[in-house]
Amino acid sequence: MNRLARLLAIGLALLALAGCGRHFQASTAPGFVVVDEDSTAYDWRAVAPDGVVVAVRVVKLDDGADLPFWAHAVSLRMRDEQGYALVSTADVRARDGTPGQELLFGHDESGKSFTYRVRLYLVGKRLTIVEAGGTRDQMDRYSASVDWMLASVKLT
Amino acid sequence: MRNRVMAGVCALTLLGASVPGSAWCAGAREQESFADEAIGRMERSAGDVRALVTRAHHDRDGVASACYTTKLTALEITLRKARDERGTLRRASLREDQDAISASSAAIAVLDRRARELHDEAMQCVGHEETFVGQTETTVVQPNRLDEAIFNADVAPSPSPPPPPSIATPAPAQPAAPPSLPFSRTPAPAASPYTADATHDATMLAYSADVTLAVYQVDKSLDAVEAVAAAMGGYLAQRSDAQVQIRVPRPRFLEALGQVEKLGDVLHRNVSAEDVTDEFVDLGLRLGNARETRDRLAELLKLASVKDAVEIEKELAKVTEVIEQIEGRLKVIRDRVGFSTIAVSLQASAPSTVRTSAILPFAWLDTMGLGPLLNVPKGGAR
Repeated sequence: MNRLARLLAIGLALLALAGCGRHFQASTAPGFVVVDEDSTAYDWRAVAPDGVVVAVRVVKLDDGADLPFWAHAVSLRMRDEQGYALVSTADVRARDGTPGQELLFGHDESGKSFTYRVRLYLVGKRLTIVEAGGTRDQMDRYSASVDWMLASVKLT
Repeated sequence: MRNRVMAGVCALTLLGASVPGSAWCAGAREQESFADEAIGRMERSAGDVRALVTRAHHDRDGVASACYTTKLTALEITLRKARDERGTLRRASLREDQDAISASSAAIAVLDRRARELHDEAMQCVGHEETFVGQTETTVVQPNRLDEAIFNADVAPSPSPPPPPSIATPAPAQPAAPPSLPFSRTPAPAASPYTADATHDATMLAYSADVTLAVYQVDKSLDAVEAVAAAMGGYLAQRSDAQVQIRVPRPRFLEALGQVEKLGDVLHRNVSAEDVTDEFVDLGLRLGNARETRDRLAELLKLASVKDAVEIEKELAKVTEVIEQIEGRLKVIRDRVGFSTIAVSLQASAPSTVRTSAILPFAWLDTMGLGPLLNVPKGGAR
């Protein structure tokens, strides 16, 4: 019994170490692979062979703006600065029940249409941004996997 | 009263008395004496040439006669002006106007020199027929004192355009500008000895402006400049991608310039007035000479033999050509004076540095989008 308790404690400690510094959990759908990277803006990024990408990052905020503020800020930046079209918005929830907002953008470039999905979750002064994007065709192909991965994000 | 006193002083001086103020008398008297001598020389020169004309006429030498006649005509005009100046000198002397005395004396000196040149040219007429009408010039000394009959009747624009309007705002200093130059309200500069008793003839100034504007829409601004010209009773002279040149009636020059400058930010402006009086007067005199020569040739033609008539007609054709050339040139000058030119260069304004909205200063917002998302660095996968 004593030995079992020790093993449990070690297991919990390993789990804690595995999630050290991350305030979210994300799952990888079949057909995606997680990219090992340290120097980019993303905390986690999974890529499909066809170029569809799902990524998560957490941004620490100094100010106490609310979720609609950041959703609007992202929307304006994408539209005014980068020429994206806001196709739709939707209220969503993370796997842990945290309310969020999803922005769906369309973008045409070099004769191709792209789809870009952004989910924003705000917990305290921490903004979790979940992004998914790729060509429109591939995003449609991978829509089930992308939906599953977006829904798998759990804030911790 | 002072004149009478000075006349008395001068009279005493003439009698050899030493009287205060006699220095002025001596100066004026010397000038008048010089003028009389010069006029005497001119009269003798004219008499010599007149004799040559008579002799050529007597010899029925049509070519020589035509050449002498040309020189005689110019000499007589010069002599007439010298006599006019002599009268002016006399009046100036009586009113003790030293500047006017100097100006008239100088004018007579120039006319005297010109008369000698004409006399010498006349002496070369025999065997040198090619030195003819086209090369004859009459030196202009004081445009404002020229024979008005010749000047106005033949070439002066009629009616004279009104003087250019004054401008409300002070402008960059233009030291050489005449008193009525736009953008200047400075008093007239001290008159030179040659114009001591005369105001500048502002009607013979050709105004032009060169303006560079920074505008926002070049095409529309070009149209606007063109519209200004039309509104002012002017016309478009030239137009290119970013430059336009318009011509407006001189009385509305400043008004048009003001309208043009409202179309953008003035980066550069240059307004100038070119005095074409000298050229205009010179051409007027040459035209007068040529016409008198033509008339004399026409009279000679009536009396000439068939052989001489051929030669005279040739000279007549030359004179007529000269008259037409001068008239054409005068027309150009009148046009330049009557219509002012405004050349406008337009430059597109520099892009505005004012944004339409503020940018949120959060770096992570700049990394949003498909570009960063899809740009996966080469590296190992877990």
